[in-house]
Amino acid sequence: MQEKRWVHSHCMQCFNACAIKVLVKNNLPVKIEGDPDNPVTKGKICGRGISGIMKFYDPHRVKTPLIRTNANKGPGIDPGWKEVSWDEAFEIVGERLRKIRNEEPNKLITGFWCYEKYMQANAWSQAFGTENAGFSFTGVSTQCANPIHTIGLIGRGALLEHVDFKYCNYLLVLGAGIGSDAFQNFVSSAREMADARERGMKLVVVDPRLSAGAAKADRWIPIRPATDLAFILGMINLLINEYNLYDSWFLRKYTNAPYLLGSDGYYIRDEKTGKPLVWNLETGVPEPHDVVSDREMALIGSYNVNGRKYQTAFQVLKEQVMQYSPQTVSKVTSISEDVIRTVAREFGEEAQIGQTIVLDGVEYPYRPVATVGYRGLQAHKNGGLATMALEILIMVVGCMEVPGGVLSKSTDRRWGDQPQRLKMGKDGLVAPSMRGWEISDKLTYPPKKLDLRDYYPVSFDMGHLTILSTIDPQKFGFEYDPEMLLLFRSNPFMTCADQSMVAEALRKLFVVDITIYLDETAEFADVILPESTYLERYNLINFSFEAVGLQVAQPVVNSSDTTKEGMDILTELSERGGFLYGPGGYNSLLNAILDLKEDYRLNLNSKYTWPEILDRMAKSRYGSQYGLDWFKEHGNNFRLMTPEEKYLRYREARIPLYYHSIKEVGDKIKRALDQQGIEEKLGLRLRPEEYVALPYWQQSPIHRHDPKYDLFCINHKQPLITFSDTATNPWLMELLERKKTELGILIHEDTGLKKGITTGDEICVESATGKIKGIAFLSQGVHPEVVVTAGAMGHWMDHSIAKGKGVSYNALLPINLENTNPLGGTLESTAKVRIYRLK
Amino acid sequence: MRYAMVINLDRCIGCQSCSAACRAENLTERGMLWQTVLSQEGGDYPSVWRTFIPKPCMQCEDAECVRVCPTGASAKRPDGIVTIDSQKCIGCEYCILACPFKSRSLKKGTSYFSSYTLLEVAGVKNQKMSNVVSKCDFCQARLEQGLRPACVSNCLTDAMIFGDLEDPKSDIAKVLSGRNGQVYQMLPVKGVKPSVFYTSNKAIIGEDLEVIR
Repeated sequence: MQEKRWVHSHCMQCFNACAIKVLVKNNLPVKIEGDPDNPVTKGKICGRGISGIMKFYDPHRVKTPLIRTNANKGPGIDPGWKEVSWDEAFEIVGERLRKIRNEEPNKLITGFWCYEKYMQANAWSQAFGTENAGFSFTGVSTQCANPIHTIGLIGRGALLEHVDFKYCNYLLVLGAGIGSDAFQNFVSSAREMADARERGMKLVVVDPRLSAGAAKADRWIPIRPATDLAFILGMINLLINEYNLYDSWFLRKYTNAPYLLGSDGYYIRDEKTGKPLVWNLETGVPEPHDVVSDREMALIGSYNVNGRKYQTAFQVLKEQVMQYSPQTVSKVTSISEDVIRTVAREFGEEAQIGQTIVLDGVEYPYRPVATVGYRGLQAHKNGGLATMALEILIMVVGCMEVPGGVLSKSTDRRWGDQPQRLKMGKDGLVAPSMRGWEISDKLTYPPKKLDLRDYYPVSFDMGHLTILSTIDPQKFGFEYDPEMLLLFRSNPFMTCADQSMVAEALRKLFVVDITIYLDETAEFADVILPESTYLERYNLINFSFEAVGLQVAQPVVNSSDTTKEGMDILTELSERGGFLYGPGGYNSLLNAILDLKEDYRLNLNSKYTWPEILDRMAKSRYGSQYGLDWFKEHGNNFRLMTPEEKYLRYREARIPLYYHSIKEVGDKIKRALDQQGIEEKLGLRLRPEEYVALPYWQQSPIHRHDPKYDLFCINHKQPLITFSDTATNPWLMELLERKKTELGILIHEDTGLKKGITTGDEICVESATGKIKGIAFLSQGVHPEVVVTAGAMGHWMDHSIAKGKGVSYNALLPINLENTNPLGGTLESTAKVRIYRLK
Repeated sequence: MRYAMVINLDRCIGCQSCSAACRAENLTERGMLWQTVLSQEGGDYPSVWRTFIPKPCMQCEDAECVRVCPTGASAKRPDGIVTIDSQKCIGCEYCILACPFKSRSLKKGTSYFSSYTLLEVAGVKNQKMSNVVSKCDFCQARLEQGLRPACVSNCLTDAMIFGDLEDPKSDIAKVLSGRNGQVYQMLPVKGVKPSVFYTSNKAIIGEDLEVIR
């Protein structure tokens, strides 16, 4: 008699943690389906989620700890792996950790891209005491859209943005796959967007290629890569200066648009209270922002007081965007003036400025327009400014976090807490939800952080720069030499950039790799610590946009394998490294980050397994009867958010239309760089020009004319690929092979014709940094100046499914300061290339 | 009774979740997919259209495959589903040539599972592994349990509706009869009366799809 049961769990093959149920027969998983008991994903799961079962059975998994016996590291060079016991492996790494921690903790770099628990893993790095924690080396800064994390978290507590599909009537998408390709919460938003479109929502997609979303759109607008910033600035100009379509009520009530600025760009403050002033139209004098009613505040204009000229922040914006006429924007973006005008007008008109809606007895502004931008907008040298511009566009028509508009994903619900209103911070504005970006008047010198965040604090991650400074730390003034890299579920060769630099940096370091495959990076590792697959691990999380509560992941089999849960590996390493116990230890930092209540706090002198920690996290939120066991049985305790929780989360506090605080940081950094003579000492230009209060058009280095490299190469995500990870899955690879474009290189037909390239030809794409080979696919569905690649593939590791399939696009990207966007932290994700046919 | 499917092409985003669900349900061998998603495009830049067309077996009323089968392995059930009896199939491939939709393929035994042990565990090891023809059967086994076909059940955008075409109260009958816009089928010119229908409000939706009413 076969034993047969269904087990609740959640997927861990990307960040979204969608609910699954797994059919188990005779203690082995045989099928994955979506979990119908989850109110967010409602029993659906994407192709990756279904195919995850093949990861479990993959014969290429590494199942024993390994140590290198050949000191010579290089691609194709046999590391001479020697199998060792877990105890031996732990002791080798533990000894190294103890030594480094005694000498200089910053010599340890951690690259933790372990999706669903990266924050808990970060607590480990903090407890160790290294400043080089987080996503170093991993390529988060090339694969993700980081600016929204910083701009969003500073401005309005938003880690990510989302669309209120239920009410939205007009959606403008800029380089994002929302509801159609890979994007946050793909499973639920695919359904929501299909419903919205059927209801009549108009969809406009700005993208250099005809994405799946663009194919469904009412209008596809091909754009030159990395010029979305200019397009948005042009829209803001038309809305304010030509069409008079802006929400003055919203801007006065919910933003700092009416605040008065001096000629230096800083707030004019009340002499007594220090509060920013606004112009009172009734009394005709400037008064503190919190004593004037919204109705009486001047939104537009210049005002003279005692011979000095003050302008409102909105007036400054209005004047600054005047230069972005449709004609100018058209030249930069390659979009026709007509289309720019049409989209701007439609966006403003569809906002229905002034309308309201009553939900659950409460009246809200009703602004059924939204706009979302992802990697196509943000992952560029100018992506921070572009994100800022997008936020301002949203505020100009008043569709921010109101019914029909742009919603946000906050971090407060992640571990099961109830949603919080945003707290009031300085100057009547929302308190930023990001820490560590404000600096004192002095900069740290010599620098401590290998990703140079000592100079660029308003960035989420700049982990690619760690590679640069590892190779030559003295160049950037570091007084220590990095010694060890601990990677957790990451393959920098595939996901970061410039592969020869990655190799050079990895050669210098003692590399410890927590991984399930012997991938390209593992080939450079000194110690391999094999992780279990997600079907053998526990978790509790909530990554949804719309639910409150937690959902479980649990082992579906009683694994007798020798692999381990990655978090248990970290715990063991912290014990051996001497930083698990006592105040400031890993346990105490987990207590803080998980915000555990007194009764459930980890004892500082005990050692806990990962499921024991999760059990305490759940009980701390919901009481002793709702521990991990309850979730294992029931799957989740989700409930959908109420309108009260979802909309106007800022309410009493204002959002910055004028990013005064970012300008302040930028000016401080520039002053400190001058005063401390840092740039002079190093012979480097470091100042972050992008730390400004209002966005302006900034060219990316890829826009510079270069006769040798005449095309742009872009890269996109798609729902069957998570970075480099899913290429090893035979079911997914077969689906990708059926879509020729996804493993090949997409080129416009006319461009192909000019270059003598036809569909099926093997071609080379070459940048100044690297070369990739692939099969050309010609189409009309792509901008003529652009070639397109998908995902992070082109593996050369010994894996029967992944090897040689698709292209390793990241090889084309240089790792340097010039291509780094310090506002957010992304590396320019478009490469300047030439293409040619291979014989 | 006649099982049928209506696929709303305006909702389909081409994500292949249906294909993946089919594979997981039926554990088809390497290179064999019963449910595929075609992607067709046309037009001149920048007025380019692209349509994603999910394509299960059409379960034709006048099935060519059944007509040409020399052994009676291919047969039509009273509920409209075309089945293959693998014990009777001799792998002659006449049906593969006859099917206008390329819905059938020959098992070659090129299983993923020589190294991936799943097939054994799932208990389908005893099926004839090669030299028989196989295809989509609307997930017969799921229908017997009162479930919808795997592709329909897992369609992220709910683009697919399944049911009994001859029951006027079924969702599928209601959608087809209550529809103002046009209804399409693939290659109606072949005259085989497929049980799969497509709907769309767009002017151009792809090759091989023709308005039937």
